[in-house]
Amino acid sequence: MYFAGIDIGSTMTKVVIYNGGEVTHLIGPTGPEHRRLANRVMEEALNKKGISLDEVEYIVATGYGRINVPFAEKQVTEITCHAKGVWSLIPEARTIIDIGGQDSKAIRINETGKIISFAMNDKCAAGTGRFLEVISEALGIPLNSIGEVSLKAERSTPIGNTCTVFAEQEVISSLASGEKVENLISGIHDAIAARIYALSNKIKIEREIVITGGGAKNIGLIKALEKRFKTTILVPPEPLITGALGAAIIGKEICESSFAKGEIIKRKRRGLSEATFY
Amino acid sequence: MWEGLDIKEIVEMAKDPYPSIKEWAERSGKKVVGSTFADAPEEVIYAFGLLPVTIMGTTKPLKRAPSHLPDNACSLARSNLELVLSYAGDVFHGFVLPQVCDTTQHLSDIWRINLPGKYVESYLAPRQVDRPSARYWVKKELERLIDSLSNWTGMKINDGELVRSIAIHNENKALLKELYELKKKNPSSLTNKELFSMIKLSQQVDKEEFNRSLRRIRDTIKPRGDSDGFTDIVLAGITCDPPEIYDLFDEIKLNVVGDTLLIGTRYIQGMVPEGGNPIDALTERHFKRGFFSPIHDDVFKNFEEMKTIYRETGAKAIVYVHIEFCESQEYDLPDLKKMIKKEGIPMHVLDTEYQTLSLSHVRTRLQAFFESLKGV
Repeated sequence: MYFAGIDIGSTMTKVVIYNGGEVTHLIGPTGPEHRRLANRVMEEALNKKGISLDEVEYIVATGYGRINVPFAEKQVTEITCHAKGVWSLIPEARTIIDIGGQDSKAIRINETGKIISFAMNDKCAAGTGRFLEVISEALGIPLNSIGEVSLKAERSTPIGNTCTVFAEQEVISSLASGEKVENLISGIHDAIAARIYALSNKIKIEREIVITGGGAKNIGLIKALEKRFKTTILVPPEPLITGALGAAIIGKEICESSFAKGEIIKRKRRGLSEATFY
Repeated sequence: MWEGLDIKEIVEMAKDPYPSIKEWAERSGKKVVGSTFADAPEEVIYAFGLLPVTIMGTTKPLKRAPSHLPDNACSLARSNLELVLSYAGDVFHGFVLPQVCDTTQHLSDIWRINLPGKYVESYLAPRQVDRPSARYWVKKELERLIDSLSNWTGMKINDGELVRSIAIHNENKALLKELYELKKKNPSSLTNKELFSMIKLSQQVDKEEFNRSLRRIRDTIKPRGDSDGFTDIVLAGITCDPPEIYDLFDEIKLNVVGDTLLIGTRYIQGMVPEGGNPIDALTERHFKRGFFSPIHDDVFKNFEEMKTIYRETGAKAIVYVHIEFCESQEYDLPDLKKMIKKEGIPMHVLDTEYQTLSLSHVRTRLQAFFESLKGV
């Protein structure tokens, strides 16, 4: 029996197909027309797994685009799904930091995986993946390389402005003054780490700390966070899919609970249709 | 204009009541007096044959207000100013502006300067209601307002006109209270948005007319589905805007069973004792109304009130609506959070702003909070 989670994030769409043990995932860019594309991403994931849609017992959608997945049985927030997904992989986790494309979240869970509190950064791009995108564009360095580049820094250039727009200006100005790129990137990572630390402090940080989202793929940012949090930060094997994994697990739990009660699972009329309210 | 409205029409009109207010004023030849929250005695204004309208901000873009109030000023204060400067200034003939917090102190000066030719009067009710002088102060302030309105309109009012006005306003509040009780017991009969639209519109239209609509709704209202599966909550704060937030509550089946809002219970609580001297009765009301004091008082009263409502209603959680840069809330919220947490009451703080266009983050936070509370 298979369960699927689809996490439509602002930048990337992630699908996980799960049978209680084996996890198959697919990651693709969300793009501006995600409402039209959710069905195609799911179709690709099913093809990758080699199963048909009918073989999937339950689908849970999450992420900011969760309301636009017409073939999902249920919508659950990414906060709940990340908590579930991370706890299933790392039960020692107590603080989860998700650095997404457009927002960041800090989630505190207890030993049973239950959410105790959470905080979100939304209106400001500082402390999110977007901040790194802007800086990588300004420096002309691919986003997936800036982590490695920052490890070569002799020192971190202090970045006074945590606002994305002003920080970009500050970086360009420092470049013009002859500052080394790697030092600047290291400084940017420190600035993001400071922002994330402040966000996480709202929910009281407790070890173990786990990082998910695109930011977790940046080794320079991980190092900066470890320096700021003064502890090791754990990274799941594929930090982008924890939300989709959590969604799939929630689907499994809903089904198991219904089976135990002898209830019939309410399933959507199946078919990978596009959202009609685009 | 407002006597034959059904629920759907009320919800629609509450979004933007100003065109109908303007039309009503033109048709009736009466003048419209706007007030900001929270103390303006609308019974007094109404007794002069004027229409008292509570100004509750706008979700339309800010254009002129930022020139007078900076970005870190209260979102409601900026939004109110924008409404009268850019969108609905021509609806109002005058304003009675209470001073309830540091932001609203001297705000009337900005309004007076920028709205030349309009009647602008301050109304200064005391916030420290426990002081012995407070009662004397309120009474004198009421008398001063009556004198000011007399000078502006050239009219005098007698006790009979005040008594009639009080009766109309009291009936309005009694009807709203009945509808609130019906909704609490049977949330499928009235959505959160519908109920709070009624309370909101009550503060903006002619109550004698609107009471007829409310009476008919009360007499004909029926459950519209299953009332199971709702989660009872207490809504705390001052206002709750944009109104689409109620849609989110309705979407995730939250049933507001108690509140501390000025566009909710604080308004309904403002019934004036009938039978005695009307000025004394209006004075008394200031002290009987639920606690609302953004300045010069301790936060414990606020906490105790929230706790009592939570316990008495049997709600499962408190949702606190925080208006961005509302200084009184910024002062109180950290202490309130600590006290509520210590009491073991689940509370979620919704950060709102009048110019919020996208509610996706609000939806995610709210939904996540209730997922963690109830499970998925």
